[in-house]
Amino acid sequence: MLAGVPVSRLLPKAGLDDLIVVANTEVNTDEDRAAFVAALEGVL
Amino acid sequence: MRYHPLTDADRQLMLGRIGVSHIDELFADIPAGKLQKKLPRLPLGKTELEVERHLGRLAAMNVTASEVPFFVGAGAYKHHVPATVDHLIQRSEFLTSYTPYQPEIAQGTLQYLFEFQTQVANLTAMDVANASMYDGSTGAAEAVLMAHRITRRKKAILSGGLHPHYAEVIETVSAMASDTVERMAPDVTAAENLIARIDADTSCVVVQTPDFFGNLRDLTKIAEACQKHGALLIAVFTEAMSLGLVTPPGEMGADIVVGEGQSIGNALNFGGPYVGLFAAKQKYLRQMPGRLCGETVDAEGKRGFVLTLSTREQHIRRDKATSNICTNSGLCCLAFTIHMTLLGETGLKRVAAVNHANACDLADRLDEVEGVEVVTTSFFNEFTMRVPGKAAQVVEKMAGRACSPACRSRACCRRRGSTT
Repeated sequence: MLAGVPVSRLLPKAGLDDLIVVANTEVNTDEDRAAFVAALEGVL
Repeated sequence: MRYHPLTDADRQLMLGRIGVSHIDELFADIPAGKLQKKLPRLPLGKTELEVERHLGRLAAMNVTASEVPFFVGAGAYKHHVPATVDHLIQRSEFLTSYTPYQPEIAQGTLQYLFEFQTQVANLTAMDVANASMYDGSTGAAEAVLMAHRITRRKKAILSGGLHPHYAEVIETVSAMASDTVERMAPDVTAAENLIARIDADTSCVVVQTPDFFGNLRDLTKIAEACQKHGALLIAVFTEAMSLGLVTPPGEMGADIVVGEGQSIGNALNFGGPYVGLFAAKQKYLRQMPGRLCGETVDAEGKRGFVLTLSTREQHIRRDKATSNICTNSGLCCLAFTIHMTLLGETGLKRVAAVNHANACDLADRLDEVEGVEVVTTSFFNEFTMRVPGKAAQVVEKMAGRACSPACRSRACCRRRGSTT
Protein backbone atom coordinates (compact mmCIF):
# COMPACT_ATOMS: atom_id res chain seq x y z
CA MET A 1 0.00 0.00 0.00
CA LEU A 2 1.52 3.31 -1.12
CA ALA A 3 -0.63 5.58 0.99
CA GLY A 4 0.48 9.08 0.04
CA VAL A 5 3.22 11.57 0.70
CA PRO A 6 4.06 12.68 4.24
CA VAL A 7 4.27 16.46 4.15
CA SER A 8 7.50 16.27 6.18
CA ARG A 9 9.23 14.69 3.18
CA LEU A 10 8.93 17.91 1.16
CA LEU A 11 8.67 20.38 4.05
CA PRO A 12 10.95 18.86 6.70
CA LYS A 13 11.21 21.92 8.92
CA ALA A 14 7.61 23.11 8.79
CA GLY A 15 6.37 21.28 11.86
CA LEU A 16 3.74 19.45 9.79
CA ASP A 17 4.98 15.98 10.65
CA ASP A 18 1.51 14.56 11.23
CA LEU A 19 0.13 15.29 7.75
CA ILE A 20 -0.16 13.04 4.70
CA VAL A 21 -1.17 14.25 1.22
CA VAL A 22 -3.38 11.58 -0.35
CA ALA A 23 -4.34 11.41 -4.04
CA ASN A 24 -7.12 9.26 -5.46
CA THR A 25 -7.56 9.07 -9.23
CA GLU A 26 -9.72 7.05 -11.59
CA VAL A 27 -7.30 4.10 -11.34
CA ASN A 28 -8.21 3.45 -7.71
CA THR A 29 -11.07 1.02 -7.07
CA ASP A 30 -13.49 0.53 -4.21
CA GLU A 31 -11.30 -2.40 -3.19
CA ASP A 32 -8.25 -0.13 -3.09
CA ARG A 33 -10.00 2.39 -0.89
CA ALA A 34 -11.25 -0.30 1.45
CA ALA A 35 -7.72 -1.71 1.65
CA PHE A 36 -6.37 1.77 2.40
CA VAL A 37 -8.71 2.24 5.32
CA ALA A 38 -8.04 -1.26 6.64
CA ALA A 39 -4.28 -0.79 6.37
CA LEU A 40 -4.43 2.60 8.09
CA GLU A 41 -6.53 1.22 10.92
CA GLY A 42 -4.09 -1.65 11.20
CA VAL A 43 -1.04 0.53 11.70
CA LEU A 44 -2.56 3.19 13.97
CA MET B 1 33.25 14.52 -41.89
CA ARG B 2 36.46 13.28 -40.33
CA TYR B 3 37.18 13.75 -36.65
CA HIS B 4 40.34 15.76 -35.88
CA PRO B 5 41.22 15.73 -32.19
CA LEU B 6 42.57 18.89 -30.61
CA THR B 7 46.28 19.30 -29.89
CA ASP B 8 47.79 20.94 -26.83
CA ALA B 9 48.65 23.92 -28.99
CA ASP B 10 44.97 24.21 -30.05
CA ARG B 11 43.88 24.14 -26.41
CA GLN B 12 46.40 26.80 -25.38
CA LEU B 13 45.27 29.03 -28.22
CA MET B 14 41.61 28.75 -27.19
CA LEU B 15 42.36 29.27 -23.52
CA GLY B 16 44.43 32.31 -24.31
CA ARG B 17 41.62 33.74 -26.45
CA ILE B 18 39.20 33.69 -23.51
CA GLY B 19 41.80 34.95 -21.07
CA VAL B 20 42.54 31.93 -18.88
CA SER B 21 45.82 30.06 -18.51
CA HIS B 22 44.50 26.66 -17.43
CA ILE B 23 41.22 24.82 -17.95
CA ASP B 24 40.77 24.48 -14.17
CA GLU B 25 40.05 28.23 -14.05
CA LEU B 26 36.75 27.54 -15.86
CA PHE B 27 35.54 25.58 -12.83
CA ALA B 28 36.31 28.33 -10.32
CA ASP B 29 32.63 28.60 -9.28
CA ILE B 30 32.65 25.09 -7.85
CA PRO B 31 33.73 25.23 -4.17
CA ALA B 32 37.23 23.82 -3.80
CA GLY B 33 36.08 21.40 -1.10
CA LYS B 34 33.74 19.71 -3.57
CA LEU B 35 36.44 18.91 -6.10
CA GLN B 36 37.97 15.45 -6.04
CA LYS B 37 41.74 15.34 -6.52
CA LYS B 38 41.61 11.85 -7.95
CA LEU B 39 39.03 9.27 -8.90
CA PRO B 40 37.72 7.04 -6.12
CA ARG B 41 38.65 3.37 -6.20
CA LEU B 42 36.04 1.71 -8.35
CA PRO B 43 35.37 -2.03 -8.51
CA LEU B 44 36.49 -3.94 -11.56
CA GLY B 45 34.07 -4.08 -14.48
CA LYS B 46 31.40 -6.79 -14.49
CA THR B 47 29.87 -8.76 -17.31
CA GLU B 48 26.55 -7.70 -18.78
CA LEU B 49 24.86 -10.69 -17.16
CA GLU B 50 26.28 -9.78 -13.73
CA VAL B 51 25.15 -6.18 -14.12
CA GLU B 52 21.65 -7.32 -15.15
CA ARG B 53 21.38 -9.52 -12.08
CA HIS B 54 22.64 -6.77 -9.78
CA LEU B 55 20.28 -4.14 -11.18
CA GLY B 56 17.42 -6.61 -11.09
CA ARG B 57 18.00 -7.24 -7.38
CA LEU B 58 18.08 -3.49 -6.74
CA ALA B 59 14.87 -2.93 -8.71
CA ALA B 60 13.11 -5.74 -6.86
CA MET B 61 13.56 -3.81 -3.63
CA ASN B 62 11.07 -1.21 -4.87
CA VAL B 63 7.33 -1.36 -4.62
CA THR B 64 6.11 -0.02 -7.95
CA ALA B 65 3.00 2.01 -8.57
CA SER B 66 1.37 -0.78 -10.56
CA GLU B 67 1.90 -3.50 -7.94
CA VAL B 68 -0.15 -2.15 -5.04
CA PRO B 69 -2.96 0.31 -4.38
CA PHE B 70 -1.38 3.66 -5.13
CA PHE B 71 -2.47 6.92 -3.50
CA VAL B 72 0.66 9.01 -4.09
CA GLY B 73 0.35 12.44 -5.71
CA ALA B 74 2.00 15.68 -4.59
CA GLY B 75 2.82 16.84 -8.10
CA ALA B 76 2.72 13.65 -10.20
CA TYR B 77 -0.40 11.52 -10.62
CA LYS B 78 -1.18 8.00 -11.76
CA HIS B 79 -3.86 8.09 -14.41
CA HIS B 80 -4.90 5.64 -17.06
CA VAL B 81 -3.19 6.31 -20.38
CA PRO B 82 -4.85 4.47 -23.27
CA ALA B 83 -2.65 2.08 -25.23
CA THR B 84 -3.46 4.15 -28.33
CA VAL B 85 -1.30 6.98 -27.03
CA ASP B 86 1.79 4.81 -26.65
CA HIS B 87 1.15 3.19 -30.01
CA LEU B 88 0.92 6.50 -31.87
CA ILE B 89 3.83 8.29 -30.21
CA GLN B 90 6.11 5.39 -31.13
CA ARG B 91 5.57 5.89 -34.83
CA SER B 92 9.01 6.49 -36.31
CA GLU B 93 8.19 9.90 -37.69
CA PHE B 94 7.42 11.14 -34.19
CA LEU B 95 10.37 9.50 -32.49
CA THR B 96 12.87 11.02 -34.90
CA SER B 97 11.65 14.36 -36.14
CA TYR B 98 11.43 16.51 -33.01
CA THR B 99 12.56 19.93 -34.10
CA PRO B 100 10.05 22.06 -36.02
CA TYR B 101 12.48 24.57 -37.45
CA GLN B 102 12.11 23.64 -41.11
CA PRO B 103 8.39 23.97 -41.75
CA GLU B 104 8.72 22.52 -45.24
CA ILE B 105 9.47 19.10 -43.75
CA ALA B 106 7.83 19.39 -40.33
CA GLN B 107 4.17 20.13 -40.97
CA GLY B 108 3.04 17.12 -38.92
CA THR B 109 5.00 18.25 -35.89
CA LEU B 110 3.92 21.85 -36.29
CA GLN B 111 0.27 20.87 -36.66
CA TYR B 112 0.24 18.87 -33.45
CA LEU B 113 2.01 21.73 -31.65
CA PHE B 114 -0.68 24.10 -32.91
CA GLU B 115 -3.38 21.72 -31.66
CA PHE B 116 -1.56 21.34 -28.34
CA GLN B 117 -1.49 25.11 -27.88
CA THR B 118 -5.19 25.30 -28.69
CA GLN B 119 -5.98 22.57 -26.15
CA VAL B 120 -3.96 24.27 -23.40
CA ALA B 121 -5.51 27.66 -24.09
CA ASN B 122 -9.00 26.12 -23.94
CA LEU B 123 -8.25 24.14 -20.78
CA THR B 124 -6.90 27.17 -18.93
CA ALA B 125 -9.37 29.67 -20.47
CA MET B 126 -6.49 31.89 -21.55
CA ASP B 127 -5.89 33.73 -24.82
CA VAL B 128 -2.70 32.03 -25.92
CA ALA B 129 -0.51 29.09 -24.97
CA ASN B 130 3.00 28.19 -26.06
CA ALA B 131 4.35 24.95 -27.51
CA SER B 132 5.16 23.55 -24.05
CA MET B 133 7.82 24.00 -21.41
CA TYR B 134 10.30 21.59 -19.92
CA ASP B 135 8.06 20.87 -16.94
CA GLY B 136 5.72 22.60 -14.51
CA SER B 137 8.34 23.67 -11.99
CA THR B 138 10.70 25.35 -14.46
CA GLY B 139 7.66 26.76 -16.21
CA ALA B 140 6.67 28.44 -12.93
CA ALA B 141 10.14 29.97 -12.65
CA GLU B 142 9.90 31.18 -16.24
CA ALA B 143 6.52 32.73 -15.49
CA VAL B 144 8.05 34.71 -12.61
CA LEU B 145 10.85 35.96 -14.86
CA MET B 146 8.25 36.93 -17.46
CA ALA B 147 6.33 38.90 -14.83
CA HIS B 148 9.54 40.71 -13.85
CA ARG B 149 10.12 41.69 -17.48
CA ILE B 150 6.57 42.93 -17.96
CA THR B 151 6.25 44.89 -14.71
CA ARG B 152 9.92 45.91 -14.50
CA ARG B 153 9.79 44.90 -10.85
CA LYS B 154 11.75 42.21 -9.06
CA LYS B 155 9.70 40.86 -6.17
CA ALA B 156 7.62 37.70 -6.39
CA ILE B 157 5.25 36.56 -3.65
CA LEU B 158 4.82 32.79 -3.44
CA SER B 159 1.73 31.36 -1.81
CA GLY B 160 2.18 28.92 1.05
CA GLY B 161 0.11 26.45 -0.97
CA LEU B 162 2.61 26.32 -3.81
CA HIS B 163 4.33 22.97 -4.32
CA PRO B 164 7.61 23.14 -2.35
CA HIS B 165 9.66 21.97 -5.33
CA TYR B 166 8.15 24.70 -7.52
CA ALA B 167 8.96 27.28 -4.85
CA GLU B 168 12.54 26.00 -4.60
CA VAL B 169 13.06 26.20 -8.37
CA ILE B 170 11.73 29.75 -8.38
CA GLU B 171 14.06 30.65 -5.51
CA THR B 172 17.06 29.11 -7.28
CA VAL B 173 16.41 30.94 -10.55
CA SER B 174 15.66 34.18 -8.73
CA ALA B 175 18.91 33.95 -6.76
CA MET B 176 20.87 33.78 -10.01
CA ALA B 177 19.13 36.96 -11.19
CA SER B 178 19.31 38.75 -7.81
CA ASP B 179 15.51 38.96 -7.72
CA THR B 180 13.51 38.89 -4.49
CA VAL B 181 11.23 36.06 -3.47
CA GLU B 182 8.83 36.37 -0.55
CA ARG B 183 7.79 32.82 0.25
CA MET B 184 4.79 32.47 2.55
CA ALA B 185 4.70 29.84 5.28
CA PRO B 186 3.10 26.50 4.35
CA ASP B 187 -0.65 27.10 4.25
CA VAL B 188 -2.44 23.81 4.98
CA THR B 189 -5.98 25.25 5.06
CA ALA B 190 -5.69 28.05 2.45
CA ALA B 191 -6.12 30.66 5.16
CA GLU B 192 -3.24 32.99 4.23
CA ASN B 193 -3.84 36.65 3.36
CA LEU B 194 -1.84 37.14 0.18
CA ILE B 195 -3.59 40.38 -0.73
CA ALA B 196 -2.11 42.12 2.31
CA ARG B 197 1.41 41.33 1.03
CA ILE B 198 1.00 42.98 -2.37
CA ASP B 199 2.66 46.39 -2.71
CA ALA B 200 4.19 48.68 -5.30
CA ASP B 201 7.32 46.51 -5.53
CA THR B 202 5.44 43.30 -6.28
CA SER B 203 5.80 42.00 -9.80
CA CYS B 204 3.70 38.88 -9.33
CA VAL B 205 1.84 36.66 -6.93
CA VAL B 206 2.17 32.92 -7.54
CA VAL B 207 -0.77 30.84 -6.32
CA GLN B 208 -1.49 27.17 -6.94
CA THR B 209 -4.97 25.68 -7.26
CA PRO B 210 -5.66 22.92 -6.42
CA ASP B 211 -2.77 23.66 -4.08
CA PHE B 212 -0.12 21.34 -2.65
CA PHE B 213 -2.42 20.37 0.22
CA GLY B 214 -5.36 19.84 -2.15
CA ASN B 215 -7.26 23.07 -1.42
CA LEU B 216 -9.28 24.59 -4.25
CA ARG B 217 -8.77 28.36 -4.23
CA ASP B 218 -10.84 31.16 -5.68
CA LEU B 219 -8.31 33.48 -7.30
CA THR B 220 -10.77 36.23 -8.24
CA LYS B 221 -10.06 38.62 -5.37
CA ILE B 222 -6.29 38.08 -5.61
CA ALA B 223 -6.47 38.83 -9.33
CA GLU B 224 -8.31 42.08 -8.62
CA ALA B 225 -5.78 43.09 -5.98
CA CYS B 226 -2.87 42.33 -8.31
CA GLN B 227 -4.40 44.43 -11.05
CA LYS B 228 -4.96 47.30 -8.64
CA HIS B 229 -1.24 47.30 -7.71
CA GLY B 230 0.08 46.74 -11.22
CA ALA B 231 1.25 43.21 -10.44
CA LEU B 232 0.51 39.98 -12.29
CA LEU B 233 -1.29 36.91 -10.98
CA ILE B 234 0.43 33.66 -11.90
CA ALA B 235 -1.86 30.67 -11.39
CA VAL B 236 -0.18 27.29 -11.04
CA PHE B 237 -1.54 23.73 -11.16
CA THR B 238 0.20 20.38 -10.79
CA GLU B 239 -2.83 18.21 -11.63
CA ALA B 240 -3.94 19.01 -15.20
CA MET B 241 -6.91 16.65 -14.90
CA SER B 242 -8.49 19.11 -12.46
CA LEU B 243 -9.15 21.48 -15.35
CA GLY B 244 -11.86 19.09 -16.51
CA LEU B 245 -13.97 20.01 -13.51
CA VAL B 246 -12.85 23.13 -11.63
CA THR B 247 -13.12 26.75 -12.74
CA PRO B 248 -10.12 27.43 -15.00
CA PRO B 249 -7.63 30.08 -13.86
CA GLY B 250 -8.37 32.29 -16.86
CA GLU B 251 -11.96 32.74 -15.71
CA MET B 252 -10.68 33.88 -12.32
CA GLY B 253 -8.52 36.65 -13.75
CA ALA B 254 -5.08 35.04 -13.97
CA ASP B 255 -2.53 36.85 -16.15
CA ILE B 256 -0.29 33.82 -16.63
CA VAL B 257 -1.20 30.17 -16.10
CA VAL B 258 1.47 27.53 -15.79
CA GLY B 259 1.38 23.93 -14.70
CA GLU B 260 2.33 20.32 -15.15
CA GLY B 261 0.73 18.37 -17.98
CA GLN B 262 1.95 14.90 -16.92
CA SER B 263 -1.51 13.76 -15.81
CA ILE B 264 -2.72 13.71 -19.39
CA GLY B 265 -1.05 11.22 -21.69
CA ASN B 266 2.07 10.57 -19.63
CA ALA B 267 3.01 7.96 -17.05
CA LEU B 268 4.80 8.72 -13.80
CA ASN B 269 8.15 7.98 -15.48
CA PHE B 270 10.00 7.98 -12.12
CA GLY B 271 9.61 11.77 -11.92
CA GLY B 272 10.21 12.75 -15.53
CA PRO B 273 10.33 13.64 -18.34
CA TYR B 274 7.17 15.67 -17.98
CA VAL B 275 5.62 18.56 -19.90
CA GLY B 276 5.06 22.12 -18.79
CA LEU B 277 1.91 23.95 -19.86
CA PHE B 278 2.15 27.74 -20.21
CA ALA B 279 -0.58 30.21 -21.18
CA ALA B 280 -1.07 33.95 -20.87
CA LYS B 281 -3.20 36.90 -21.87
CA GLN B 282 -2.82 38.05 -25.47
CA LYS B 283 -1.19 41.32 -24.50
CA TYR B 284 1.76 39.45 -22.93
CA LEU B 285 2.38 37.26 -25.98
CA ARG B 286 5.74 38.69 -26.95
CA GLN B 287 7.17 38.14 -23.48
CA MET B 288 6.25 34.45 -23.36
CA PRO B 289 9.12 32.00 -23.01
CA GLY B 290 9.46 28.92 -25.17
CA ARG B 291 8.16 28.67 -28.70
CA LEU B 292 4.89 29.54 -30.35
CA CYS B 293 3.47 27.82 -33.40
CA GLY B 294 1.14 29.74 -35.69
CA GLU B 295 -1.12 29.14 -38.65
CA THR B 296 -0.38 30.63 -42.06
CA VAL B 297 -0.67 29.86 -45.79
CA ASP B 298 2.06 28.67 -48.13
CA ALA B 299 3.04 30.08 -51.53
CA GLU B 300 0.09 28.22 -53.09
CA GLY B 301 -2.41 29.54 -50.58
CA LYS B 302 -2.73 26.23 -48.71
CA ARG B 303 -3.04 26.19 -44.92
CA GLY B 304 0.23 25.52 -43.14
CA PHE B 305 1.96 25.92 -39.78
CA VAL B 306 5.21 27.63 -38.77
CA LEU B 307 6.97 28.81 -35.65
CA THR B 308 5.90 32.42 -35.18
CA LEU B 309 7.69 33.28 -31.95
CA SER B 310 11.10 31.89 -31.09
CA THR B 311 12.78 33.93 -28.39
CA ARG B 312 14.82 31.34 -26.57
CA GLU B 313 18.49 32.05 -25.96
CA GLN B 314 19.25 29.60 -28.77
CA HIS B 315 17.31 31.77 -31.24
CA ILE B 316 18.17 35.37 -30.39
CA ARG B 317 20.71 37.40 -28.43
CA ARG B 318 20.93 36.31 -24.79
CA ASP B 319 20.15 39.77 -23.44
CA LYS B 320 16.88 39.87 -25.39
CA ALA B 321 15.88 36.24 -24.91
CA THR B 322 12.81 35.28 -22.88
CA SER B 323 14.26 31.96 -21.76
CA ASN B 324 17.55 30.10 -21.50
CA ILE B 325 15.92 26.68 -21.16
CA CYS B 326 16.35 25.73 -24.78
CA THR B 327 14.45 22.48 -24.81
CA ASN B 328 11.11 20.93 -24.01
CA SER B 329 9.76 17.39 -23.87
CA GLY B 330 8.34 17.07 -27.38
CA LEU B 331 7.23 13.45 -27.06
CA CYS B 332 5.45 14.14 -23.75
CA CYS B 333 3.77 17.10 -25.42
CA LEU B 334 2.62 14.86 -28.26
CA ALA B 335 1.31 12.24 -25.81
CA PHE B 336 -0.67 14.97 -24.06
CA THR B 337 -2.17 16.12 -27.35
CA ILE B 338 -3.14 12.63 -28.46
CA HIS B 339 -4.73 11.75 -25.13
CA MET B 340 -6.64 15.04 -25.05
CA THR B 341 -7.89 14.38 -28.58
CA LEU B 342 -9.05 10.90 -27.62
CA LEU B 343 -10.86 12.21 -24.54
CA GLY B 344 -12.40 15.32 -26.00
CA GLU B 345 -14.16 17.79 -23.73
CA THR B 346 -16.83 15.27 -22.73
CA GLY B 347 -14.35 12.53 -21.90
CA LEU B 348 -12.13 14.84 -19.89
CA LYS B 349 -15.08 16.01 -17.81
CA ARG B 350 -16.14 12.40 -17.19
CA VAL B 351 -12.68 11.33 -16.05
CA ALA B 352 -12.38 14.41 -13.84
CA ALA B 353 -15.78 13.66 -12.29
CA VAL B 354 -14.71 10.10 -11.48
CA ASN B 355 -11.51 11.42 -9.89
CA HIS B 356 -13.44 13.77 -7.67
CA ALA B 357 -16.06 11.20 -6.72
CA ASN B 358 -13.37 8.66 -5.82
CA ALA B 359 -11.52 11.17 -3.66
CA CYS B 360 -14.71 12.18 -1.87
CA ASP B 361 -15.49 8.53 -1.18
CA LEU B 362 -12.05 7.95 0.32
CA ALA B 363 -12.22 11.12 2.40
CA ASP B 364 -15.61 10.07 3.79
CA ARG B 365 -14.25 6.66 4.76
CA LEU B 366 -11.12 8.13 6.35
CA ASP B 367 -13.18 10.56 8.39
CA GLU B 368 -14.63 7.49 10.14
CA VAL B 369 -11.22 6.20 11.23
CA GLU B 370 -10.54 7.01 14.87
CA GLY B 371 -7.72 9.51 15.30
CA VAL B 372 -7.70 10.54 11.63
CA GLU B 373 -8.86 13.96 10.42
CA VAL B 374 -9.30 14.98 6.77
CA VAL B 375 -8.07 18.56 6.93
CA THR B 376 -8.90 19.73 3.40
CA THR B 377 -12.53 20.78 3.03
CA SER B 378 -12.67 21.64 -0.67
CA PHE B 379 -10.61 19.52 -3.04
CA PHE B 380 -10.48 17.88 -6.48
CA ASN B 381 -8.78 14.48 -6.21
CA GLU B 382 -6.21 15.13 -3.52
CA PHE B 383 -6.46 16.10 0.14
CA THR B 384 -4.46 16.25 3.33
CA MET B 385 -5.18 14.10 6.36
CA ARG B 386 -3.83 14.34 9.89
CA VAL B 387 -2.82 11.14 11.64
CA PRO B 388 -1.71 10.40 15.20
CA GLY B 389 2.07 10.49 15.56
CA LYS B 390 4.59 10.78 12.72
CA ALA B 391 2.99 10.66 9.27
CA ALA B 392 6.23 9.38 7.67
CA GLN B 393 6.21 6.34 9.96
CA VAL B 394 2.55 5.66 9.19
CA VAL B 395 3.28 5.72 5.44
CA GLU B 396 6.30 3.42 5.89
CA LYS B 397 4.32 0.96 7.96
CA MET B 398 1.51 0.92 5.42
CA ALA B 399 4.04 0.25 2.66
CA GLY B 400 5.56 -2.60 4.62
CA ARG B 401 2.36 -4.39 5.56
CA ALA B 402 1.59 -7.88 4.26
CA CYS B 403 -0.32 -7.69 1.05
CA SER B 404 -4.03 -7.26 0.91
CA PRO B 405 -6.45 -8.83 -1.56
CA ALA B 406 -6.08 -5.57 -3.48
CA CYS B 407 -2.41 -6.28 -4.26
CA ARG B 408 -1.94 -6.80 -7.97
CA SER B 409 1.46 -8.46 -8.01
CA ARG B 410 2.43 -12.02 -7.14
CA ALA B 411 6.05 -10.96 -7.16
CA CYS B 412 5.29 -8.33 -4.51
CA CYS B 413 3.49 -10.90 -2.36
CA ARG B 414 6.40 -13.35 -2.68
CA ARG B 415 8.86 -10.67 -1.58
CA ARG B 416 6.78 -9.90 1.47
CA GLY B 417 6.07 -13.53 2.36
CA SER B 418 2.35 -12.91 2.13
CA THR B 419 0.00 -15.85 1.92
CA THR B 420 -2.72 -13.75 0.32
